[in-house]
Amino acid sequence: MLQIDCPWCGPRDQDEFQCGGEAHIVRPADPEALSDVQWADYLFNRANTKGAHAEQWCHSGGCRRWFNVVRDTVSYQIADVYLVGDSPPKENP
Amino acid sequence: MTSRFSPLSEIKTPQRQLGASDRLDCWFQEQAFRAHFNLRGDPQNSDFLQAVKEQLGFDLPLVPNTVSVAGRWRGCWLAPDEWLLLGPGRSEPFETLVGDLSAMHHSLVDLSGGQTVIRIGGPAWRDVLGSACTLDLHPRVFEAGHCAQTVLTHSNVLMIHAHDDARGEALDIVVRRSFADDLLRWLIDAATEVGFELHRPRT
Amino acid sequence: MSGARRSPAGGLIDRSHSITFRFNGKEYSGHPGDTLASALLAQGIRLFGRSFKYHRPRGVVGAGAEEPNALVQLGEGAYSTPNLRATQIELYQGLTARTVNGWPSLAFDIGSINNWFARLLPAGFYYKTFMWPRSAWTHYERFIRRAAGLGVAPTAPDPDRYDKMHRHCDVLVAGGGPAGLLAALAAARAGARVILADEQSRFGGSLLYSDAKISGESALDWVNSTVDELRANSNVTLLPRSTVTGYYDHNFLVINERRTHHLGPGQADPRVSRERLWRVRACQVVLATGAIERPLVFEGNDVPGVMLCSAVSTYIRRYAVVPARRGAVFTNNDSGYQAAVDMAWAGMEVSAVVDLRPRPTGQAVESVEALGIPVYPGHVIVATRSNAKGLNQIELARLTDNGSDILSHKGLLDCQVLAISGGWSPTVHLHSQSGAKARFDDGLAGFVPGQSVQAERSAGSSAGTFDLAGCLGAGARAGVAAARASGWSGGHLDIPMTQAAQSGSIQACWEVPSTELGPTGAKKFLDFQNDTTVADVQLAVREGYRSIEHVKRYTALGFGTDQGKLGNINGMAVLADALGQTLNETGTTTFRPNYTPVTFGAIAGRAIGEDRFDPIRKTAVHPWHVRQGAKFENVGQWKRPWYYPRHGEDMHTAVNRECAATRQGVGVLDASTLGKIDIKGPDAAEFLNRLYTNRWDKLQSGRCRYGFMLGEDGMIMDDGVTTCLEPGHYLMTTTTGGAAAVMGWMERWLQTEWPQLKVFLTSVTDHWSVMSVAGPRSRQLLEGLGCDFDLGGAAFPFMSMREGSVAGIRARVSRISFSGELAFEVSVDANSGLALWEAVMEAGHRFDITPYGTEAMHVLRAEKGYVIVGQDTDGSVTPLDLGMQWIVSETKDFIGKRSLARSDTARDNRKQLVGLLTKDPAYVLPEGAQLVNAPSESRPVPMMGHVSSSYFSANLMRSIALALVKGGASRMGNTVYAQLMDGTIVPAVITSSVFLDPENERQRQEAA
Repeated sequence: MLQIDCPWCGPRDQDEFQCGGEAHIVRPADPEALSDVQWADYLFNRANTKGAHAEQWCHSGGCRRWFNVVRDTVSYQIADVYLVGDSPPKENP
Repeated sequence: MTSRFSPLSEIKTPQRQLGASDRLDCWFQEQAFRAHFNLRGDPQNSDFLQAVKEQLGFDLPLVPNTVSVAGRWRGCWLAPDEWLLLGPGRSEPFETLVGDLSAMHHSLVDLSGGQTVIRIGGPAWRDVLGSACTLDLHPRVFEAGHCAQTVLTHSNVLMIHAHDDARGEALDIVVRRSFADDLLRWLIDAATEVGFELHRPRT
Repeated sequence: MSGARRSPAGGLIDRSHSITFRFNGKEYSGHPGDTLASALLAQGIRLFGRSFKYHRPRGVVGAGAEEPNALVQLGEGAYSTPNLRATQIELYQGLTARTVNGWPSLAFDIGSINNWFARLLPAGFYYKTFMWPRSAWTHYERFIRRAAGLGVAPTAPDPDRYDKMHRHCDVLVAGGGPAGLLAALAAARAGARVILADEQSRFGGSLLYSDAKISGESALDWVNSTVDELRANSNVTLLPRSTVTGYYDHNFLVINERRTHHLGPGQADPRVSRERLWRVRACQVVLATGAIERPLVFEGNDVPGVMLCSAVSTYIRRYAVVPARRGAVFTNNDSGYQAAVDMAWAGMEVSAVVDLRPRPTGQAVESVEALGIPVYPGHVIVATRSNAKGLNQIELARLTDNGSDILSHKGLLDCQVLAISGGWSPTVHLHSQSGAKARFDDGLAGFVPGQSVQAERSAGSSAGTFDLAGCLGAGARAGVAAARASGWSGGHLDIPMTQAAQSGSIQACWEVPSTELGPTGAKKFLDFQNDTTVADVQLAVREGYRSIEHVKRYTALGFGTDQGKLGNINGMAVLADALGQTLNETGTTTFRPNYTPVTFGAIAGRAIGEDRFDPIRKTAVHPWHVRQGAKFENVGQWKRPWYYPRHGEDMHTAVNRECAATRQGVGVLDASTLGKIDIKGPDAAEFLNRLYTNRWDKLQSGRCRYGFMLGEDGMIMDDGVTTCLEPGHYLMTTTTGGAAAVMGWMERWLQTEWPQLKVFLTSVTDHWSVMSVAGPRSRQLLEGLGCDFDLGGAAFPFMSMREGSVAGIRARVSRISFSGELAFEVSVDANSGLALWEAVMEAGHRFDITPYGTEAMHVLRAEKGYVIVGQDTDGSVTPLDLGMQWIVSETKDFIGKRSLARSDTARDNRKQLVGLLTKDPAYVLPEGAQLVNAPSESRPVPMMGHVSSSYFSANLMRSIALALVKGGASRMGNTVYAQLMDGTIVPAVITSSVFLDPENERQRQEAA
């Protein structure tokens, strides 16, 4: 059971959260201008990172806010939590 | 006036059941038919904050998981732009607030029929709740002025530290109507070992 | 009298009370404080079971969780529990137990034939032999499993109560021996919130069988006063009989507390849970889990009577059991000497202390020599001899100077108990579960904790500190450090003094050399429960196995219910030796939760049965439905009335009646479960434009519109009617099951992608009680009920909403219809929902008003060809597949729009929604049935689609179905065939999906 530090509510059990997958995937401004391949890349293709992975989580059992988490997909350690709209922290600050 | 039924009306009150040590270490009481209003607005907008303060008498809490109180109204933090206003019912200051807010981007929604409050207290209330609640409710951590949203037995709830005039320290659990009956039955069962009293609802 | 082998005095047993119990059908007695194992040993019982593979007789080896042999089936009937360790079962009045392994009987065991054919049963034997031919495996398996024994799960429901407790703490201490007690005390004095858990019935660990003095008092007195202080501290939670079974991510630990086992089945107050699963989030963890003594590996090391030194000391000092008249010790470290002292103290003759080490010295050795016990340094035991009661002789031999071979045989010694010690293995299980990697320490000859990866520290013998003074000091330091790391630094603690002996050196020995003169073919057992021998591991290496994980699975080393607590380290060392590796190179197998087995009851807790497995959501009208005898259907977590049988009607009759009444008179449906979302803000219309496939910017106040919401992949996600309450303010309805997901979906877009849109969402699902009043008489009914607004079609057209008073209750009334009839959806504050419902029922009496359930609702909508998202769609269906191009806007972007133009989504032979009419009008197709063009086609027959909804329509007096058929939109009039599981082939004609009133005249009824 992970403990995730909601930027608003503080540390809570994973059960209160919902994972939204990889973060920082921006919806194309003009989808009609994209080829099928480009659209499929936005729609389906994900990095499947081993190691530090920026992902979206929602505190669905609490304040219902979405935010970003950097989680190591091997050790499950959470390195960082930051608000939507903020840039991911540099790997080696 | 037509008859109203709270979501807990199918659970018999009062009832009491002694615990394994012949004690009644937990009590429950529904705080029925309270006014529940969900308020959303911009916390950066001082006009918005001022309008609430003028009519309800408190500063909307901006610190997560805290509560402001004035008279019989409580304002509970739900999210950075969302609060629950919990009070006795629609009244003049409240109607004035509706008017005052109309000019600014906000949302004030009546949820009074959709939620109720289960108040739980007694010497063993933390243990009873501990069977379902993953939050740290230790008095060092969760004290007067605090509230928290969490999931109890799959139900999303808001828990508010409370003081019961008759019975002392307590916790108010704000739960959605459709889950309320299930949650109270669950909690009563959880209190089997310590023993409990279920009082008539306070309206 | 509790047994011939009971000392006249001493031990932590209550001699003032006797307890009777049954083992393998025979009655015995013991005392409170006994375990089943100690009580049986006190009776002189030595044979406890038979081994898994060779069915060799086995006795008790240990005194705790490490016990591999003494497994019993405890209790009877519903209370029966399999595979419990007799060493951990507290004795209670009336206890019944039987050996799990030893079919058909313990004394004559048919499986022991395996013992005679032992040479034919090498490692992997079952894999090699019985897996071929595959078809025969089911036959072999039955025999093997039965012969293999191991207990039986009860078939009756568990009568006991189980529960859970969530807890946070500053410091969790696992293990209440000397190190754990001091760690807890130090942390508690510093002010920290402490949980101390120990698997035994009382705290003290090794001090419960120690003759040491601590701070001048007996170890036991010191334990008692320490526990008293902890108990008096309100910040401390003491959990005896509680095993920390799992260490998970982010310092989340699970403790299994056994609360009433020791009272016996049915004896505890039924209000008290039998077990409690503690789910603890700890700021810091101190692992004081102790160490498990290792056996020495020599020929015949498995005969009943060969026991761990610590077990012998435990039985003597804690349980006042004299395990035999004559004993001996075989050791490679100082621990064996304490066992010799304890045996002598108990009045046993001690024939020898056989020590592998060539020159053992120190306090321990001197104390044994002072008792006149012969010590044989540089010697080993190379064989055991036994009779029907177990061990009776050991064969002594002298090692060469380098210790690698037998130099000479020194003859036989009589003894019925041989206490063995091959050193200690720190219990690194929890440390390893936390994600850390234990490392091998050559000096200690054991795996010790490595670098911590979570907030934990090990102290005492679990960290490789084996002497009492060291454990006390390490515990205190760990407690102080853990408290400080969690923010508590007050308090004061003096480390208590003890004169107990220092732990001496150890000479690692993983396998005692074999003798050429000894009995040939005798086995050196590594894993007693699974009969894994040294030869098995060596064979695995010869056959090419290299990884410890593979060797484990091939030889079954550590695969038993004991999970190799006793034998794994020896096995790994034998493997390392065979591979020419160091132990660090070979490594350990993965330590996984749980440390000892946990019952399913504890895992399930109270979340069992229909009432508590999943929450039950109820509408405001639920009590009325119950009183009417409605049958309910689960929809999401909701209980919805399915149909309302009258006078013993079956479902079919009831549904037909409900459908007909709604089409001909008036029916009412509790529609409260639909999701409802309040949407407010200047950008609300723009937001709806992006969410839904159709346009919303022109919808006027008081008007309603139906919409489809797609995923970004273009597939239908949800549908519903949204009403414009006022400019910039809408009320959206969603499907019942999709409500939470849709709310989350909308919030996600607002928060993450379009934060610039000024829109606020609030879920109002529970606030509104909604009843749908449908049928040609519905308007008349509502008029009679008293509405303060005009219900006429001109003033109140289809797809519009009015606010006003209905039967004196403030309401929103919408003219929307899912049945295809003239219908009014009346929404009121849910506190008044039941009152409104009852008022409508009363007013409807003269129209023979008929409540209808979800089944009739499904039939009525299917007659109209209205889809249900999740039934007629399955996440692979677009609005175009439903033939609903009209709802898809060409002039704006919306979520999923681009996907509708993807080559796969745009092709014209996709599965499309059609109606199906069976040639036999009475035949109702099963939902899910596969459709083919012609059953005569060569196999595999191409699948053309499937039936998604199918009912008997009482209004049309025939069956109707909706189906998704490849290219179906252009196949009207074609015949397809449903091929059913039982071989039946049902022909059906493709038609429009609208079976009734295609012009929608019924629901409009504007001229009222």
